[in-house]
Amino acid sequence: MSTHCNSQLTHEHLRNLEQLAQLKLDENEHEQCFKSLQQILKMFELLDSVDTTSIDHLSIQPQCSIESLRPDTSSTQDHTPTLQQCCPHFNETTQHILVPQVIDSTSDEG
Amino acid sequence: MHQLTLSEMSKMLKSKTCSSTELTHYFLERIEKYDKKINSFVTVCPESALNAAKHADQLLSTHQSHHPLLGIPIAHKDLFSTEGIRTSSCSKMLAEYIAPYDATCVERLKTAGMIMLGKTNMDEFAMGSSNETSYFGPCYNPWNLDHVAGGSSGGSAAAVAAGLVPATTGTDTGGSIRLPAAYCGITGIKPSYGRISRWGMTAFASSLDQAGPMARTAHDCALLLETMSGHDPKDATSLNAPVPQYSEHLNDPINNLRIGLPQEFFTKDLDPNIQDVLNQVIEQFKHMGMNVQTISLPNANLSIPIYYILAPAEASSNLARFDGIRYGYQCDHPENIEDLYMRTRDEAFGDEVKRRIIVGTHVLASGSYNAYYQKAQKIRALIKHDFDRAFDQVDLIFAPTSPTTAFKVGEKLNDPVSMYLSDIYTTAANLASLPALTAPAGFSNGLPVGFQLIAPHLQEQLLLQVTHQLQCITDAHQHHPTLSNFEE
Repeated sequence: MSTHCNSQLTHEHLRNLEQLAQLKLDENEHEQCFKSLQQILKMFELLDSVDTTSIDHLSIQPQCSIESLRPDTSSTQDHTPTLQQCCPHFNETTQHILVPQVIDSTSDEG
Repeated sequence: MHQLTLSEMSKMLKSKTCSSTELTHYFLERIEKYDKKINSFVTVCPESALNAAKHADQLLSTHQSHHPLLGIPIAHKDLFSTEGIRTSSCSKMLAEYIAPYDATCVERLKTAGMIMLGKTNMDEFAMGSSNETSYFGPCYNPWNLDHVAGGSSGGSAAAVAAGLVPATTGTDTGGSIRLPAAYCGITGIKPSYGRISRWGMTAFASSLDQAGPMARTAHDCALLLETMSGHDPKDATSLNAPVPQYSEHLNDPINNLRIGLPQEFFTKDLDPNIQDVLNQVIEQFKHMGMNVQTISLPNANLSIPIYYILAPAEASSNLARFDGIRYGYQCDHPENIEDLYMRTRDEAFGDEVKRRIIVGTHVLASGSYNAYYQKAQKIRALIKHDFDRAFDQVDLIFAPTSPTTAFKVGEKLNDPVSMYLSDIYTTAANLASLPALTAPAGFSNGLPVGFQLIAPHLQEQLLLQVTHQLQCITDAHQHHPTLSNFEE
């Protein structure tokens, strides 16, 4: 598939992207984003000339067979000790991290 | 004192020529005096710094610790979590966020006894090459305030260049340590991916992000790197590989090393003045007994489009967590949950961040995924293969860091592709997960020029050795900008 057809950006497509990205751009922002996105997508047209079907020549082989991969199940390990160690404000009872007060009352916003 | 290296400061502290408290006061005063014009710091912590310095002085007087970095000031890029201190990634989204823990590399430097002076300016969420997208205003180049410091670790680079702090931490996803280091005339290293833990680093592009030290010399970077590096069980991508004592082997022999010059990097796109400065470094390498030869990285010209597909794709996922619910900025009076998400993100993210999120969303959308993201991953493998083949012929690769010296403030803000092309020589090393260093090469029209070295995976030692031995016989790294007009 070529990037060229995708680089034909439309305003409707950009609005769909804004929705997907959960961003609410005003009209001016939308217009600025549209112009810059067109330039960026044009840059991607370079990829069309690259042949990646020859990737097999790199001879990258898997290290083990599919059958010997472990099942995709979550670990039963309790992570509380690690959290207690790395987060001094981790509350074991609530399993939440408490936000401490600022420790430097004179810290200056530069 | 601000012109001393870390080892010289360490000797002064151990011989009691000065104390850590005096050193900390000295740098805090310099920040107060000069940083209003540069804007390299976004948070300064005088009280906690002086408390830490007092503790360091106690350890020094009772010889309880012999770490070479004990009692020496440092500043951290503002995307490293620092417990109890604002960690904003220079975004309105996190402008009031206080980190509840220290990032692993912050903790390691703190355990070594370094004194944190504050947090440095950066492009918002590390997205930028000029440090102009920061919510707290641009960081300016101490060599010429009309020019950018580079990005995204601009504050870290400018603070070291101006002598406001002897060392800083930065991060490098597509050149964000190396480019500002080159623009500001200091030394910086992006280690192999996984060398330093990313636990506690605000994520931009998780397969590319890497922390690294920034300082005046390769020796200083070696001291910092060996302290910051190492496996971390809290970061599944951190490498379980031993950390060499980089600083102990800087004078190991380097004659007969083979240095490769990629023909794709030395073209008419490179400023001829920069080419002249780099030629002098190449001549020095030959004089030092190294063999220089031309090599090819055939797919290197694809680094920029590949990077600007993969990095925004990962960023669009990483920044999805900023939804106005759990932490950070929240818009006023949302009408419903959807309005909360969208207005929070629109009001709190800057233009460049929004642009990259949109690009990332586009390249991952169904219908675009194969043409963009999947293809980019395949070409990333080709770029890595190019480097593997090159390192069959040479031990190190020499390249420019940037096609130009630091450009003027505002020059590229409205032209994102032109801004992205600043990274033309740096992104390839990130895509291939290789270590790369930049160090001062000289000057062009009063602005610093940097050179870049790229090494095979986990060969940071070679980068530091060659650069250290070059810095022993040259003086490009010893120049300092004049700050006499910076006081208010």
